[in-house]
Amino acid sequence: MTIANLSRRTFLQAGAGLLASTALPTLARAQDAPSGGRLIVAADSEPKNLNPAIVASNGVFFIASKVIEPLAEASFEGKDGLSPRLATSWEGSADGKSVTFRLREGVKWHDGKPFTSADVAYSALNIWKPLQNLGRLVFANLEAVDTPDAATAVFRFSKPTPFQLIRNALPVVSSVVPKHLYEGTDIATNPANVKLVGTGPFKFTEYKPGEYYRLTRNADYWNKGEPKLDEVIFRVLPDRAGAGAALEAEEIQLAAFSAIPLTDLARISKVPDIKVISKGYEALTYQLVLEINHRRKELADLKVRQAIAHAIDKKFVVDTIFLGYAAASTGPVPKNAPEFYDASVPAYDFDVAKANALLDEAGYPKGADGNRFSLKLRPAPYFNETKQFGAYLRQALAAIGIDAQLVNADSAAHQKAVYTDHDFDLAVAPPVFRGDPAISTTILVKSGTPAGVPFSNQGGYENKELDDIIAKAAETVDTKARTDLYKQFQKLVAADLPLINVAEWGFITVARDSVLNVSNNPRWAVSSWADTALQS
Amino acid sequence: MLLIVILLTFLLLESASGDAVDAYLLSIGGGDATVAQSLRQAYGLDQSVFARLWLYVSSLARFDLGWSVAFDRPVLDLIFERLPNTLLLMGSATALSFGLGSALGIVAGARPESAGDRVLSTVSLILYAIPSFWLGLVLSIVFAVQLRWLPTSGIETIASGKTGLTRAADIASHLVLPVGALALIYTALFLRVMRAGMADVWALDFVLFARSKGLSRSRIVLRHVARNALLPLVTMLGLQSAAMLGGSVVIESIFAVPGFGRLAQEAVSGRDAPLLMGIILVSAVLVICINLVIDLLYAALDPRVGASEPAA
Repeated sequence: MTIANLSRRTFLQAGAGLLASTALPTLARAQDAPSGGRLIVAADSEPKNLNPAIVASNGVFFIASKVIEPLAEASFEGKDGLSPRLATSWEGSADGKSVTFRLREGVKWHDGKPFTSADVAYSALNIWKPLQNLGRLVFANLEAVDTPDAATAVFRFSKPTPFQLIRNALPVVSSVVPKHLYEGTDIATNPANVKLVGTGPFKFTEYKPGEYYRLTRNADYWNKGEPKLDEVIFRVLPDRAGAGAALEAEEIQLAAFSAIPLTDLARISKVPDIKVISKGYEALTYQLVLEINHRRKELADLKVRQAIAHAIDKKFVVDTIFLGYAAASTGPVPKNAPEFYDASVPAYDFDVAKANALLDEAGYPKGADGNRFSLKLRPAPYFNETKQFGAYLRQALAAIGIDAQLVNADSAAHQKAVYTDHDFDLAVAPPVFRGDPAISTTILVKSGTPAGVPFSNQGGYENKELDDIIAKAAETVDTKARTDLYKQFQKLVAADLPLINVAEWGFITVARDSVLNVSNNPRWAVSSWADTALQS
Repeated sequence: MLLIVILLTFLLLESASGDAVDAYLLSIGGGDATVAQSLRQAYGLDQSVFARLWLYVSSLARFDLGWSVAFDRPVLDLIFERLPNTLLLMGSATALSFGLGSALGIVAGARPESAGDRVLSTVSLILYAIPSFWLGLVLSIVFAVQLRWLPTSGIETIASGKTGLTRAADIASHLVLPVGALALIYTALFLRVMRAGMADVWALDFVLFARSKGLSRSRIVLRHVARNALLPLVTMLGLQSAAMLGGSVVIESIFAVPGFGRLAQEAVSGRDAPLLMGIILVSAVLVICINLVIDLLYAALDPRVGASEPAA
């Protein structure tokens, strides 16, 4: 840097740096020592079954992940994107028929009993495989779990199971529950599903329905020096505007999962001592998808699907509907999954003229009223953004002469209409990418799923080539070969458009500045919060 | 009567698309067909509508309100947990709006068409036109967020360990805003009814007679005009208390009060038939009781209503 470059700003920065360097030691110490204190967080739902080993959903994890731990958690820095929790290492055999976990020693359950490989074996065979919504798929071929000693668990599969899949699924499917509380009971109605007992940094202390969940510090936590907080309270705030008011009034210190609506972020970010964070949801990417009913003659024509893809202005969707807190999608795998993501897929630029030309070519000329044909469009009601996209899409389709009739319904009705009754032509859905395409992504396009399964291909789409790739990837053990198959999968989906991927987004966390170590892993909101602290 | 309520509710909920299993699978992010089937079996949803209706009515005959599928708890427990909060909220709001509304109504009705009457009538019209959710949010922003005089939401301070009077004071401070939001809007209604009633009574002959007797104006207003105008107000009170049960859904959500209205909303979105029917049944019983009390009040206010004595 030359003297001429030294501006006032540089001086200011240098000054700030100096200030920071003197202030740093005290700050660092504050982070090392247990800070204590009570963190109050907004929660918008009260799951009836809080056991993450049975119900692997974000609503359950949000609260339960502080009490019950998985074998491994997602990580920004760790090898393969994982950091060890109850397992310290994991290794897959070359034939894909076994995975060996070394377990952490000296870990105790909240009731004082020791945690051993028997708990892992019990959870895997009796809960994850037969009962868990995602485990039923990931552990479908799990045959036995050998426990040569208390700190080793060897998973044995009847058919080759890709280690890559198991690894990617670990943070979501591997919540371990205590065998001694579940064995010999009816698992589905066990009281421990509500009053959780785990190994995590916090103990489940109190639940007042409609009001709050109270978790308190586990003094015997295996990682000495953690947790930092004395208490975490999840306060039930069903109204989003109410959550914003509570945060501003300092009654709560953190609201995750976009509990504060996007439209309020610009205002609330100006409130002193409040920060808006979009990091920490990289492993929970939601996708804005247009589901297509291929039973409709017009939609079975690829040219019509291409025309619809060209009619959608993804930039407008990202900037106006998501207010910039999203990214345009290129295909069925989001950019947040760099292990699989392939950008070199067929793309569909926003081009109304081209879309109109494609529809003319397909043999659907505009009628006297300017319309080519009508469609029934059902936007999913789960998010503001899915509903808003439905309204936008109606206009976008009108521009290419397709008259879309919006049909709005509440969650249960939408679910039945689309996934059971197939009473739709187009539907807007928000599926989740869960770290590996095999978990909840391929099901969106592969054929053969019976009616009634939510978030699956219910549009009657069948493509033998695509089905073959999906089937082959499911049993390909070699990581490189499997990844390549998923790259082919992306190309084929983008080319044949069984559905149209529009955008992908993560959620927003809004917190007071006093909350430290927020969003430091890709599943932060649903991770253990052992290192989360409050600055006093 | 109650049987009709049960039947209608059951059929209405049945006609809504989607069932409790759809709603549940959605909340957990999906599940396969086997899971859906076994859940439907467990909830008894694989049986016919009439079989389920019969099952419900017959268990109801044994005073068993059934099991909530959305909460996985007995319906009766849920209702008894939430009902006191709503009764407290609704009772305070009704009392406040009735008291304030009738008092202001008397002021406005004492001199119909006077300047005071005009001001009160206009203000009440504006208040009545305000949606309750908006009023709730504005009150919360002004008094809880900006001024920080009152808590934004909840029914009491979380895990505060308060007991006795300090706890009662804590609950009272949490109730100020939701009660205020509910009461302000209904105050306007009571004011309007009171004022209109009094304006009518002024024109009657007995008022002229009272004047000619030389009674003081305040005595005429309170003893003669207001008392006679009170009857429609009491009718309104009965009707309004039923409406407030429903109106509290919005206020309970905004202020995160774990009450009855919110429970009803959750029951509908979760397609939880037993819970919703339990709620509607209890509400129906509640409304019947309130109206009984109102009828007794009539007799106290107007001796002519004491119809139990045989006419001579």
